[in-house]
Amino acid sequence: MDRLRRLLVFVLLVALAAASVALGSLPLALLLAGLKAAAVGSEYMELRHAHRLHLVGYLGWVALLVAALSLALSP
Amino acid sequence: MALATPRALSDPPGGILLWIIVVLELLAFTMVFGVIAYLRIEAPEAFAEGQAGVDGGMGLVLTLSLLTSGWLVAEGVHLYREGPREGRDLRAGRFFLLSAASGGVFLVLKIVDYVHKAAEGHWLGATEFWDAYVLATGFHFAHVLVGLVLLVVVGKKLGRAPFEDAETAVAGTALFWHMCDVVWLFLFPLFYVRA
Repeated sequence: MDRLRRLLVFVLLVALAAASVALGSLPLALLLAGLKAAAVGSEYMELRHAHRLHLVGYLGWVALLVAALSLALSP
Repeated sequence: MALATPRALSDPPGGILLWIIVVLELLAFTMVFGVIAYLRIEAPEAFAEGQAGVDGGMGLVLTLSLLTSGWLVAEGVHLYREGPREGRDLRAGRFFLLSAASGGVFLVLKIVDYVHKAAEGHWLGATEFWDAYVLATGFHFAHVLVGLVLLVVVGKKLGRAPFEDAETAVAGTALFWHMCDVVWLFLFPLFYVRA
């Protein structure tokens, strides 16, 4: 089950990476980057198994980064 | 060996030492992202012109090589923790080496990219875009290189010799590698996607 889950996350990451290029919108690409970073952190860095604070801290960093870059670089 | 859920605050997957390093690295790269954003705002023409010189397709291939590598090393860690005991470590080590091979593709492509860019005069001092591009991706390149060496060392040792601290060696190496992955996920849109 876990193996299938990791494979699905990989497929999702590939699809989101391709979408970032295809869509050609920086704010959208940053949002997709945030989603990818969240998936990598939760699944591959195993933060879903970690103490809740570690997961919240990491996802908070991702959300802040996406928000700050999107606000700064929006046309 | 399976991960207990949830783990203690002082015992994150990969080990506390590696997490301290990863957090410091992510903070350092956050500053790098800030500098790139500043330069994109201050020199929009240089950025637009520079982005015409980078290939989105190449950026995607680089991203895919890192994502594939990240998935393979995650499989290696899982196998090390929960796989059938017989030959488990050797098989996990093979995943680490496969991951290193995929990461090696990233490094080779990036070296080719740097050589081409330098030959075209797209290097430090050319414009603000190329300053940011070379310094930020070069900083990331150095981390990928370190991660790749760790993957090879751990991959070759798995199943052949014991580790003093297996959690840090196996899951910690994977954690460092995923950190490289996460940083690239943000560098990719900042340089390859036009505003």
